[in-house]
Amino acid sequence: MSDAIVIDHLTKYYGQREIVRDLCLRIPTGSIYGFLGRNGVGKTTTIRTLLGFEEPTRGSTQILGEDSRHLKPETRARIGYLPEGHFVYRWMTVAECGKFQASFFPDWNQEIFEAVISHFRLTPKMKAGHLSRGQRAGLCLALTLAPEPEVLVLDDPALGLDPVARRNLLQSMLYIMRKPDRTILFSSHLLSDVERVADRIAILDGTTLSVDSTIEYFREHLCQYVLRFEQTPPAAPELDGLLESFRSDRELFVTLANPDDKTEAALRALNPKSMEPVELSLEDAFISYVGDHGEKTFFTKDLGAA
Amino acid sequence: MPVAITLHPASDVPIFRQIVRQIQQGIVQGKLQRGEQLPSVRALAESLVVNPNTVAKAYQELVASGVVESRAGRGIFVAAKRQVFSKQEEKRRLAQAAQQLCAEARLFEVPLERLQKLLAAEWNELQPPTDSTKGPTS
Amino acid sequence: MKSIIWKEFRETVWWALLLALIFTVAQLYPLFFASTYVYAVSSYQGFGMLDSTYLLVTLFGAAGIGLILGFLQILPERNADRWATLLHRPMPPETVLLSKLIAGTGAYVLAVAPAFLLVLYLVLTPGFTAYPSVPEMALAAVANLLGGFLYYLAALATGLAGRVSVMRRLLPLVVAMLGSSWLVEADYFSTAAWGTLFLAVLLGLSAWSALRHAQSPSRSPWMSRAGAVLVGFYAASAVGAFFSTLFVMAMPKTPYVSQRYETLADGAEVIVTRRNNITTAIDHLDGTPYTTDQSQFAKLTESTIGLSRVSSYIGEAHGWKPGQSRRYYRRAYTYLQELASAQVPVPQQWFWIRETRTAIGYELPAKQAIARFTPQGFVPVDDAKPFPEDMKVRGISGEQLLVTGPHLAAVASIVSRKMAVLTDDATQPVYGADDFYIPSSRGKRLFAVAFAGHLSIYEKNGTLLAQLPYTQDVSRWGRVSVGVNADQTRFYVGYNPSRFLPVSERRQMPTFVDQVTQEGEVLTSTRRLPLPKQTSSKPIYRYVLETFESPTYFFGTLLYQKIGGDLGDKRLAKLLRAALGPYWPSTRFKGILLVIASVLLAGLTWWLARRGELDRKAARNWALFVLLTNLPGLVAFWLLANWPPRAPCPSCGRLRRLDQPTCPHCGAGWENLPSHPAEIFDRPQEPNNATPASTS
Repeated sequence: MSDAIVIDHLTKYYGQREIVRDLCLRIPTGSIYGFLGRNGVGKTTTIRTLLGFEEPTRGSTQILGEDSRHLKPETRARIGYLPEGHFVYRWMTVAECGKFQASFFPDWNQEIFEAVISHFRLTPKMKAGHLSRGQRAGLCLALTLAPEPEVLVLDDPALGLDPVARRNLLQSMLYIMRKPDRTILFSSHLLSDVERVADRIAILDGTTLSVDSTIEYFREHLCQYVLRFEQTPPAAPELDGLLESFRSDRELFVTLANPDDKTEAALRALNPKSMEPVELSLEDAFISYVGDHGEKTFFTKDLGAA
Repeated sequence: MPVAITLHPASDVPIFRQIVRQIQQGIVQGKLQRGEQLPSVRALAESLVVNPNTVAKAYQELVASGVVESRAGRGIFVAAKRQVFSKQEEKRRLAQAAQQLCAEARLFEVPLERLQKLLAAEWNELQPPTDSTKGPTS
Repeated sequence: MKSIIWKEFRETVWWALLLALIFTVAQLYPLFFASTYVYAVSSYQGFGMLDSTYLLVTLFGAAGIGLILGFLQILPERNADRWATLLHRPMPPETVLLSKLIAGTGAYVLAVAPAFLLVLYLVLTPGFTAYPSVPEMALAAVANLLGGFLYYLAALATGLAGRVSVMRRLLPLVVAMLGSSWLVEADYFSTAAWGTLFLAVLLGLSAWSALRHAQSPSRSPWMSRAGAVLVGFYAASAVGAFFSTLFVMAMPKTPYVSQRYETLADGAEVIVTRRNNITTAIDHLDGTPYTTDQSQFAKLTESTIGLSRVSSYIGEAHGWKPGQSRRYYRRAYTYLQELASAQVPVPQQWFWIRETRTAIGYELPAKQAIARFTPQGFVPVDDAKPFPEDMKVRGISGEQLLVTGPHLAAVASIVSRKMAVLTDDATQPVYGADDFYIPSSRGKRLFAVAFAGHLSIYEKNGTLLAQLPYTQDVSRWGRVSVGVNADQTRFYVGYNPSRFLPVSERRQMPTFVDQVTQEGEVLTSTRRLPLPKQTSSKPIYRYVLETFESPTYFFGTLLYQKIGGDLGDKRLAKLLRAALGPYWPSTRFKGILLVIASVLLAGLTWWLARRGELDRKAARNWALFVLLTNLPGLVAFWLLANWPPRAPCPSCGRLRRLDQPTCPHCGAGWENLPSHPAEIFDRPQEPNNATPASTS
């Protein structure tokens, strides 16, 4: 199986500011990839570089086997791209939007277009400028899916959508995966959506890629322990992969990545009354992973004391 | 599909495990009969709006534990075997339920004898699961 | 492409129509409602389309329309992701630009079409503007409309510029401003058209370059880059010219000393010395002071006897022809030359229409043509033929016209509509005529006509007052001027070298002033030796400013003159002879200075480029460019070079290019990211040597 998208040691600066550093990622054909990270970590920059709208400072990116900087129009036709914000020409009707987009693609599939817009309860005569955010997303999605792209790149497609529109979005994504050899890369902040549809996730933390695995693998390698003590618990020990720790009156919560026997031994060495692992939901796992690391003292301070 | 699967993606249980558990539950509760065909991977994935690979993984696990069986070219069916949960899982689940029950009893200050009586009554209330093709068994 | 053009047009068309409406209303107002009343007609204000308010409206209106349409096409869509939406279609980005250009040009044409039609209508309508009309009257307005298109392109280029400095973004706008200042000066349709075309191509290329640069700076096509570089050069030149003008104005002026011969009211011949136009000495011709009482200076110099020039030469002109003065259609006062105006019997104003050689009077404020003036006198408007070419008509003393022809000299009054013929004799050629004041007579004036052998003095009604025979050789001293004293007892006749003599020769020749009685008896004859010419030495900063002109322009001009001269253009040949002949020292000096300056700056460019780690080829090209263009080129280089982003090297600390794998100073690569313990990968990270992973 080949890779639809290859990002090879991508480093991108805006002026002196480093946005992305040494990013390597391969997205195999036929997979759905969730691209995660906090706001402003360079997800959009990576995606824009991938589509040839930014030049890499170092490294290179390829999409469908072609260097992103020299994408031929025919290759572009095989890539669906839905940028953040769901832009439509407000003065066009839904049907006109379709007609306009169709004029660029010889292989335009009007059936898909109509299926998606009716899924989002749009009628051809509606003015694009009068649509709600969710409807607009549906229209954009229809415009992106109807040319039957082999690779679909969605930049935060769920931003600002209500639950129903989000569900429609996910259904549409799965709908086009019915055909073989389709690939989707999408960035999102909605972990429950990612968990539903993604095969794998990549997490950008700061400027670098720090996770590239299946969701299962990620969750399995992220652990939280609750240690109970008789008295005020001690501070968490210096551990490899320690993400965050939190102390309450009698308990110590420790979240860490890639735990092994040594870490458990180190925790036991604190002599807790009891110690048990807690399973984390994907969202909690993500938050502890990309959130501020170190000991949390934020909520232990008494508000009344001030 | 006789079993309505409800997913909670935000929960701490992975989606594929939720599917596995709910199908197991369905079989235990008799909502899924022996020999009954399960929906195809794609159909279930689309109705649940999850990645087909997730469903496939759930089915794999169910097949591996012998709860369902895959018949080549025809689909996936509930297996004849009743052993839905592994011995270990059975033990874990019972322990969990017992722990919860005991905790509530302690809270309401119910003595152990009353609890046992209550348990016996509930035990007799519960009908054993029926098999639609072979008739009731005990 | 068709659908993008349609989309672009659809998005701008309503704006274009709205702008067209506003523009037309704004133009109609000064055309039909602004009062151009007799006293309001200054030399800068003309009729109708040449009305200065109207022209200001077209100038700023067209520029505004261009800017609004250009920015409207780009800015709402320039948001990074929206822009990507537009461009992520199976077509080259140039298609988008071209479509925008086509649609935008269409919208611009639509927006200015009513204005243009209005111009056409006005030119073709007899009587509204100067009558009869000539197409050139439309030039000013049409040039403004063309200028607006340059602003449109500049707005496009400015809008398209991505992450670049504000200075760099503004370059196209500066060039559009430069272009419209060129067009304001254009005297012919062809000049305006070629100027527009040239700058439009440059701005179009720079828009293309901006489009490519925003996406991938290193791969812009060379043509687009060349366009952008030239735009930078022109903008830098324009800004440089602006600031050097400011600089020159701010520098202290060197005192200007002048000496002139004057005839005082009592008939004394003196030399008046002025320093910055303030009289500092009045001396006799032998150098002794006429008076040292400075309080007398003002009074004395105010009442000198002024001599009016009657002729340029007398007799044969030795092949010399008076130079055709340039015709400026751009401004009212050169197209419609104001002759005279009066309030009675009706408010009226008289113009000389150069192109059609017609003197015509309009009733104000209706702008209705009322009469024409011909060698035969005043005739109805539609009745007359134009003047023959060599006829001269001048307005004098408010309401009078002086007409001079080969054999004719006449004075006409627009109030009484009567003409007094001074002379009209086919056997007596007229070499010139003029009026001159009688001092302290409340503006009373006499008229002088230069004949081959004598000067005739007439009164206003045509009465011959005196015949003054020439006392000098008028075949060489044929520039004859005349004045009179207050009680009309003495005439002063001046003899200056004829116009056809070369300047260098004229400068060496003395001049003469005779005092003559009414009967023609010469009382005194004064010989005035040429005064030493005041040469104000050029201040040093002027040299400094000249040093930074483009050598290409300097040497190109010489080459152009050489080629033009060889092809038979006498004017160019003469300019070249002057540059290589009398002005050779300054030509040589400037040439050497320019070469030295541009070589030094080219070296500086090379050094800066290499220091900023531009690659060798780019550094060489820029150095070559600066060698040809001097300082403005250097500024363009500084603004437009693709300076690579740099940061301190992690190993040696010196600046190094971020886009290069190794440091040029210490040879180190970039630090590899240390793998940190929290990272979670379920497959190896090196794409090149890893086997593809399966997804489950």
